[in-house]
Amino acid sequence: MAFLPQVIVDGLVLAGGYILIAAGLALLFGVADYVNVAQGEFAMLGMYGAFFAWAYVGMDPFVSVALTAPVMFLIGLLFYRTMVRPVRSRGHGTHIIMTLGLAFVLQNVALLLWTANVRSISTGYSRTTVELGPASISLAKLLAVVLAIAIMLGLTLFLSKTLTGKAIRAVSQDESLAAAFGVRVDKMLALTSGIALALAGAAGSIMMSYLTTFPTIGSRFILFAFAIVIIGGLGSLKGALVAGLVVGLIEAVGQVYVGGLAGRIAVFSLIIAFLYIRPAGLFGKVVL
Amino acid sequence: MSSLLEVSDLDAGYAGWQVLQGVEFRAEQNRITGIIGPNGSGKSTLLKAVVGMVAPQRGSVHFNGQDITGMPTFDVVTHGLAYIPQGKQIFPEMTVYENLQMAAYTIRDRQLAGQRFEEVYDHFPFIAKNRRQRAGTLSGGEQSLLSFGMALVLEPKCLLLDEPSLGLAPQLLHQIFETVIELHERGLTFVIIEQNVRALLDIVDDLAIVDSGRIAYLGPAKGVHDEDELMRMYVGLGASS
Repeated sequence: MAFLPQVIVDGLVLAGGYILIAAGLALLFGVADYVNVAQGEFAMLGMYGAFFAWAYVGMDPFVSVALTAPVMFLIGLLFYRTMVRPVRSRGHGTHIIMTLGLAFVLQNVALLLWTANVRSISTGYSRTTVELGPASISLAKLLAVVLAIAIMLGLTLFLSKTLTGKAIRAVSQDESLAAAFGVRVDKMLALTSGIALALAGAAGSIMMSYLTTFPTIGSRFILFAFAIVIIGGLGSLKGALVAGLVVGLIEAVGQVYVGGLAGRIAVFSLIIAFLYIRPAGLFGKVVL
Repeated sequence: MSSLLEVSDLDAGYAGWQVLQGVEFRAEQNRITGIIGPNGSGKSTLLKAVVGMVAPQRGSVHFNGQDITGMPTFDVVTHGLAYIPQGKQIFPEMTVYENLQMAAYTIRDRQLAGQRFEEVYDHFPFIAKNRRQRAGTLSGGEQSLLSFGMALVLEPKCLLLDEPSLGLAPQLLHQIFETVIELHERGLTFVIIEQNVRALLDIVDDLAIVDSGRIAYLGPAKGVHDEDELMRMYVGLGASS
């Protein structure tokens, strides 16, 4: 078990990106009761955004977060108007079919515009590693984890401390009561949708620093994101955080100690187990 | 003399589904007006249309002499009209204090909001005591009182309640109505939808009966002494339509 510290570090890195993607999923479900299967593709867009920002103007992926997140936020507002609001009341089946269609469209648009070539970034510090006791981690991955933690912390503070954040939580708990006290529910839902996509955009930029991207990478993300929200409990940010760590660690441990796809097999077996034993996940559908 | 709340010739409903048809409704200053009627008759829609949560298709709503027809809810609540919808009536996963903050959402002056909180604490001391507690962990009765406290944050002239007894233990309804009477004595006007007609008749001054999206009766509750009489009225209404 000499590798264990290293495996844990690798698991944490995997978890960081997954948690951001899953948090967007959990947020949109918890507040708007909307299931967004295209969340992985939004992260893919974030990755390409970071790639092109680096390729054309040499922008560091950790800097381009400040670009991809706001742009994805705006796309999130558009997404709300065109794909969330019109069908929100029609049930999860409709949401899934709508966003699955969107996912395929985005994948193929990406294929058409940017080809199937695998893209990656090499920064000046790509080969720099940092020693963390018995484990070592590339500087890029370390920054990625730190930034992911900072974003989750910022999101949590926003939801728990600001009046707007509290209004979003109020909407998630009782829409009509929130409306009765003058909360503009529609605006809060649009804002939530923007934040959910901004999280995907940020995740994309951050992961671009250490992963390669291609048009269909989103479908991998979405599987893990759903694993996380099923294990953690749909609609629960805390659940996304805990389950994200669990999933990241399982994947890393499986890869190292069993090899190949063992980690993924374990993760998806865990989903099935949870659906049997505890379908509400670790934290139920506790709203924010 | 004009009424505090005056609804005339109101049509309202949801996309492709008109619920209210030519509704004429009034609530007089300083009185308690009860609204009863079968399920799906449009009682809730009426209150929602008044506070702007359902858009009126025709007709008008006046409150305190002002035209508030189609005014968005976040403006309505600043005009002295508060509404507590059906349901849990509090935000269970938020602290008691955060519940008050949400009630004060439209009050941008923080100092003013703080003063209103103090007034609510004076009225319901348990709210001050349990400020940091999660609202969902309060007892059923305390949750109901908290929802009154939240409405009082808006310092309303008129409070609209949609079935305050729903999902509560029967003895809690008496506690709620005691609070209603107490606040009424301090000058608050009430409009209350309630299925428990017997209890409602004990406290209301006026009564409206809603049937199939219309007001079938609006007048003093005095003449209506018991449910038998009400049943006769219902039957009479049914026969005449």
